[in-house]
Amino acid sequence: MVQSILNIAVPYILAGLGGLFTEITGSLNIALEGQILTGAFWAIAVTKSTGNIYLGLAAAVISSTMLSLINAFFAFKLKANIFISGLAANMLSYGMVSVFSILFFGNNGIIRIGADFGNLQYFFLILTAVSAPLAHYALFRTPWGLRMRACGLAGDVLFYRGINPDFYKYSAILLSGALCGFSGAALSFGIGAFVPNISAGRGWIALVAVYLGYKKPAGVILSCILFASAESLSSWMQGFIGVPATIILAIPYLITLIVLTTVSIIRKKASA
Amino acid sequence: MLKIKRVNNPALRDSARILITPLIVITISVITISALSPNPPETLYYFFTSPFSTNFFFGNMLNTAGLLIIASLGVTIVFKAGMFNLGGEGQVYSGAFTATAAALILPDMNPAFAVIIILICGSLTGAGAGFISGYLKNRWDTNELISSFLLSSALIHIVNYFITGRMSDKNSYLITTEAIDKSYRLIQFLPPSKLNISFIIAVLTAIASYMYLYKTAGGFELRETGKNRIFAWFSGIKTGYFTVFSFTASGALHGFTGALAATGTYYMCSQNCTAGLGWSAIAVSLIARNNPLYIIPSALFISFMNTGLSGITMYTSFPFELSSIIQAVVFFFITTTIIRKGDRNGSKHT
Repeated sequence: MVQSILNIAVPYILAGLGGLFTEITGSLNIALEGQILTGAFWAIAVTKSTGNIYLGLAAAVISSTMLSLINAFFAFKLKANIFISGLAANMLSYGMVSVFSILFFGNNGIIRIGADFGNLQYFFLILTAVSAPLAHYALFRTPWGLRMRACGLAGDVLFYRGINPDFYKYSAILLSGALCGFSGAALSFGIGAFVPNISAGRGWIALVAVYLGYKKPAGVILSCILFASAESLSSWMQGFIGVPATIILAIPYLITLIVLTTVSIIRKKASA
Repeated sequence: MLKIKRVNNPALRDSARILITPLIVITISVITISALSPNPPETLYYFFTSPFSTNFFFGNMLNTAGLLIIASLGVTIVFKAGMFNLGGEGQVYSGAFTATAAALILPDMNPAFAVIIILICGSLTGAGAGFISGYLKNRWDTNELISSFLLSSALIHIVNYFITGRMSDKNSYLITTEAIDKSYRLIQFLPPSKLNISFIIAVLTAIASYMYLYKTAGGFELRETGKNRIFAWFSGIKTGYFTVFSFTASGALHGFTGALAATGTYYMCSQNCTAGLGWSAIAVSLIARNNPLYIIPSALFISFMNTGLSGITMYTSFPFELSSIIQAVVFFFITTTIIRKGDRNGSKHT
């Protein structure tokens, strides 16, 4: 049970930490979803073509980072609305995945690799376990982290101190790209295949986890584990109580909404 | 991007910026299509002409624009109150579903009366979803971006549950409900296209929204709430009321869009039939700088782009998947030129 919850939680936590960096620098990165999808696809596509898992992993991280770079270029350099450019990044990711899937494999359906990735699950678990404290240390114990947080609170202050806030915004969004690449790879390696719409709203949920977790790494992890438990609980309900599969898909969203509301009630009560 | 010479007349500057966006977007699309297409001249020809080539394409373009107009008004009214509704997708879809369900359940009665009931059912569903987000925001300061998105995602799955389960039409090869009775469908204008009376309703709704927002005391107070909530509150404006009201109205407009789509365009609620409408509506209202009157040309423009893209996938060998890439490129460029630093209207959202 714990093992399966952790395995479900890993992609959420990796993406959530990515979302945390962008959120802390004050940019709403809704492209997490597309970044995960891109990472998941290239992980499988490259592994299948080359037979090398490590190349696949590298491809996932690079492709997802590229996508986030495009998003950042439009949002920061060309001053596009980051919400719309994020939406565009999600569309681009969807389109690119379909096009390359047809180009490489002749269809845009499920791409399977008949290999065992048992050890990789531990790799992703360790990666998550390492990156979370690292993120906390970097954000709250280093000058870099201080500037990241200052950038989100008041970018102008950094600017007048002679520090370029854009550098921190770019680094946050690129980090989110890399982490989402890992997240996507964890997803598709986890089932040994790429399935269309494999991200299934995980990027959005990760973003919610960032808010629920008070924008702190530990909080993000707890929220992600909560969400993973809800998902695991709903699949258990499907098996044991016979709740239809389609309605199960709605439950994680509803549980998160309830938690979000509860948190805001508590916050309101505390501040009153 | 383009340097616009400073003009002192704000209205003129506004319209210049609004015109420049479509020009740039079209330029970008031409470049992207030329780069991706095996036969650029032919593809470009169909991209520009196919929306006007047949009644089918032309009517469908206007029809989609109509639906986009109403949904965008829903985005705009919340934006004017200083918030953002991310739940458009689910609100439109659930509106379409309850409208269809109402049409299937209603006993035989006067068609005009029945259609009104059906449209109200759809609007109420959206309004209910919007109300929840608005209420949570007002009562406990729950982040409305997230609550509206979560609720909408849950709604989409709940609707799918009914469509794939107990309400599904076993005789159809699509995943869909049964078709709506012919007498309960909206009046058609340009067969074989889907153009129907909803386009006229959309234009009227846009004008009515403009009148409400800019010519009434309520609209003024709503906009003041959006500009500076604390100042508005101290001025005696019921900011809490406008928070809940704008969200409820937004949901109602989205639900109305869905109901019109079900009764006028699809005649049923098939799986994901309204997918993408909510997202496109956000783009439409951002291009229109959240002015209800500018939403009409803006929706026509986005609809023209979409129709052109489906035209080239139909007439040429241009693959369908590539058109989604072009759409993405368009979205990337849409706001680069219109929302910029020092924007007078403070087009910034939380």
